[in-house]
Amino acid sequence: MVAYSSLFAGAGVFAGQGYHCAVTRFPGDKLYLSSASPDVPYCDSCPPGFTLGYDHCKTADTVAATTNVSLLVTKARERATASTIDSLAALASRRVFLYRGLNDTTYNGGSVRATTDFVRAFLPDSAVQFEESIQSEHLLPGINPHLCSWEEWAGPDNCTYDGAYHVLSWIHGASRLAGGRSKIESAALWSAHGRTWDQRPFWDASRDAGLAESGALFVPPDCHPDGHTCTVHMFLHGCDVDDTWSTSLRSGGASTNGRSATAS
Amino acid sequence: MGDQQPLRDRLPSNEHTRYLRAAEDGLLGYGQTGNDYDLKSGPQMAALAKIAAHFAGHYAGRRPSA
Repeated sequence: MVAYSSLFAGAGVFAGQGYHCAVTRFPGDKLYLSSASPDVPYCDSCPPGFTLGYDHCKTADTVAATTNVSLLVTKARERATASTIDSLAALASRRVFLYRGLNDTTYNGGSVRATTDFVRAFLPDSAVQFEESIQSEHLLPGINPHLCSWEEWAGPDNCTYDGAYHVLSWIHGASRLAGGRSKIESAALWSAHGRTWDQRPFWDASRDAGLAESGALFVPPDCHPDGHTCTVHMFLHGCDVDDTWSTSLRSGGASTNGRSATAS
Repeated sequence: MGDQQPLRDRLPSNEHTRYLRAAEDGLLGYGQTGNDYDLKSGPQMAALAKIAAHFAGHYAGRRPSA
């Protein structure tokens, strides 16, 4: 949403880090020999031959300080001035929902709070919601019975909070979801209105886009190019997610809350 | 349906915990793509924008309004 703020109306962030955070060196960050941390080959402000630890923004306290978040804000502004990302002015009219479960052991509390601080540097406070009071773990919580039958969603509040509903109602307004959740079981919905599609034409084959060759597309029955105008949601899964991905996609709530076309 | 089988039954016990993850920032690959990973010209950012624009043209027909 930061790089292409002219294109995206908002964002839902379930335990995510701030823009450019992964490769930004903050005061107090531990440095590693580049050979010892090959997954971070690029680092802003590291001395030659050194880099950061992988995913330092998830676990380190250094990013949490407001003064350090300002490094990310400055970087985004520099890039917008250089036109390597969209103008940041558009963000003032966007809406963002952020979430971190209280029992999340992958992202510490300060990390997502720092992401929220970054967002609030560009959006009015009234357009930013940070939910951090739910006793869930590191996942996208949902209430679908099939989703909740999986052991990964067992645990306090993992299946009592409709994460997709809260994101969609925050970005688009509760009135857009006034029709309530679909009464049709999600597997049947996807069987009738879901399909896979080839993503490869959307990137240059000579450069690794880090995306799967195929994506999943869900189009509600009354959402058609010649009929009802629908919003489009892009649903990106997290690192290392594999076996739980289809379950989260189909039963996480994005396809059962209101009318939307979901591409992922 | 196949994916209703608990992961515990299909994975070694020391591996299933790594699947206790769902949506994060979703922006993978900075380790492989270098310092342009979060620029408009970065391969993942550019691809995501093209995909979004493609489907918005089909189903929304317009860019988001303010």
